[in-house]
Amino acid sequence: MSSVVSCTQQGSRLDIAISGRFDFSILHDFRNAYTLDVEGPIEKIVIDLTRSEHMDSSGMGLLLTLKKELKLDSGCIEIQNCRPHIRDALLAARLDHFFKVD
Amino acid sequence: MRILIVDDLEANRILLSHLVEFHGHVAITCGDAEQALQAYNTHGADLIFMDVVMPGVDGYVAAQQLKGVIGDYFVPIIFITALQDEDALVRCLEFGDDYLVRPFNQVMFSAKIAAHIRTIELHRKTQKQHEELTYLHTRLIQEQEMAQHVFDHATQVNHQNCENIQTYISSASQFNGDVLLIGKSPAGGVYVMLGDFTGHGLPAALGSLPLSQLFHSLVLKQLSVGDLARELNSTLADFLPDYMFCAAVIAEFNASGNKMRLWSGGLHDSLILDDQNEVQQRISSLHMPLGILDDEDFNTECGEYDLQANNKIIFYTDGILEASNDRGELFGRQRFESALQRSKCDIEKVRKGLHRFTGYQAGVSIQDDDISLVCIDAGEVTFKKGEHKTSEQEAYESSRAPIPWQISLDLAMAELRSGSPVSQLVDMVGEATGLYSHKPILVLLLVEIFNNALDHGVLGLKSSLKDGPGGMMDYYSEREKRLESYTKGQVGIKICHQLLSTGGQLNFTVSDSGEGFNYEQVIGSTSDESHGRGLSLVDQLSERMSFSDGGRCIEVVYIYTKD
Repeated sequence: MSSVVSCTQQGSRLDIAISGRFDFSILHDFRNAYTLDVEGPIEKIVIDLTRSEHMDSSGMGLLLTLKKELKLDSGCIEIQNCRPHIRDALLAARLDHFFKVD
Repeated sequence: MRILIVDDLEANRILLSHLVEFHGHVAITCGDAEQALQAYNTHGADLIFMDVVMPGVDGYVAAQQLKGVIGDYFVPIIFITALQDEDALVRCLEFGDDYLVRPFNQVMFSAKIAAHIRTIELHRKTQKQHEELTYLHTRLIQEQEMAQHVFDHATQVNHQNCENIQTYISSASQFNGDVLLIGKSPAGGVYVMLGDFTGHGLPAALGSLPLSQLFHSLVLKQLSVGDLARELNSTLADFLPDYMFCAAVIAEFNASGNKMRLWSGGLHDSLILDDQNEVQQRISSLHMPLGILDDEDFNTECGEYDLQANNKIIFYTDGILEASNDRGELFGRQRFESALQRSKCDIEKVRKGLHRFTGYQAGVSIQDDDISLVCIDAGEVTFKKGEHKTSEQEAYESSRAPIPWQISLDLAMAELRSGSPVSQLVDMVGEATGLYSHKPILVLLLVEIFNNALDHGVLGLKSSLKDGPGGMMDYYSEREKRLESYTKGQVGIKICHQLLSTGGQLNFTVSDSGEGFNYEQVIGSTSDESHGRGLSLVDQLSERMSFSDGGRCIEVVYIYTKD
């Protein structure tokens, strides 16, 4: 199953939902989501992983790149609805220091 | 017809058999009771003429003996007698079925035979119908037992032990036209669906079988409730007759139980109760029931609700509101809601209250519709361990004991180029008995060490490339380039599964044909750089990780405990 990245912007808030694998295979789609179709400055990003069943370190790399490229503070990016094993991996990688993990 | 004639006088036997044969029947004659029994046993008979006065065993006794042999079968015995006293004739009717007084004329005789043949035929017909009915009844019971077994099995899987959920389900007949499905979501939350098919009994219950199969497979895909409703709708629309449909609510609760997404079609208002168990919000149905609309007309719109930990959510079918007592009063919305409040949402107490009102248990009135009531506590979703297996995979696993095994494979450039050999490998490993629930973490570990061996070993990519101006883009386009152009390179993977008393252990050994690397630098890096994270993640999530052959070979040990 190939992954799908979908996003919606509401003012300065951007919602990105990933379905399928969250790894380097979605590199382009993921970057496009917060670079191409965005209008005005973004202050808050919510990433919904309800329908993502896998994330590895390359996916985490994408998250970190996002944070760096948009120069957002810790806590401005929220990761929601992750499955238990993805949450474990995020915590094991200490990414909860940079992202709000729901 | 075969007609048995029993008379000690030959002249009488000849006369009677002529008469019988004249009417187109077969006559069998015998001179005494013993012969009569023998003849009946050998030839059978449809009707018997019996002389009353015979030497030795008289007609009455002979009739008794014959009736004993004939049993439940209907063979009328007609006595022929010259006796005319009332007593004798009463005895004729006591031991036989009719009498004919000698001397008799032919017309009378013909009429008697015709009358009795009518009775015999009627009796035969009834007998045959009775047999058919008995056969059909037995078959129906067998079929119902079979169906019951299937339904019981299907619903057993459905009622998972989610500790947030209380239910009261009562069907009006042997089969339930209401369907309650509960599925643990892969994300740790729970899906709940309550449906009410048109009608009740077996026809209504039939729809719940495919529905529950489909529901559970969709839950595993973590489909949104709207999409789930759409899938169920098109399946039901396909196979239900036009006049049948299913009113339903489908809800998904997230793992922390503070959010509910709800699709509802055709069912009564769902309720959100506050901490005092009073109705805080009524959620009316937005859509038509499932199984009516075509896919293109179907609306997946659903509501999203924020919940507090002390909220309770109530779903129910109309059976509870329409339950009535012997005075014809309905239980109704007011009684229902006040029962919820007074019992503090103790569903067992609500059930008892309903029974007191209707008198179901005392047999005062009869439940004439299926009743279902579900109460879900908001707040963190928890499941009881053990007892109830969730998926087919788990049920299958419990029937097999895990075994130790080992696989090893060498991947050359052709395989390394071809998509993702690792995902195939992980699927194989995940299917192995005992490992299903560990699959996500095994995928992660294997993906990380494989990518490490491929990227940094075989392809010789440096992580520092990610720090360049193009960042990860540069890195991955370079990766693609090298993957296409390199002709030499190999990754060897060996996975070894051992059993431990507490569970099991997996050893992953991955070696590559690259130049090796200085692994000491990599481990322990927890920088916020967008690279160098893979191996430290493996280190964190596994039991231990070690390198050999100058960094060309990595061994990772993962230990798991039994569920």
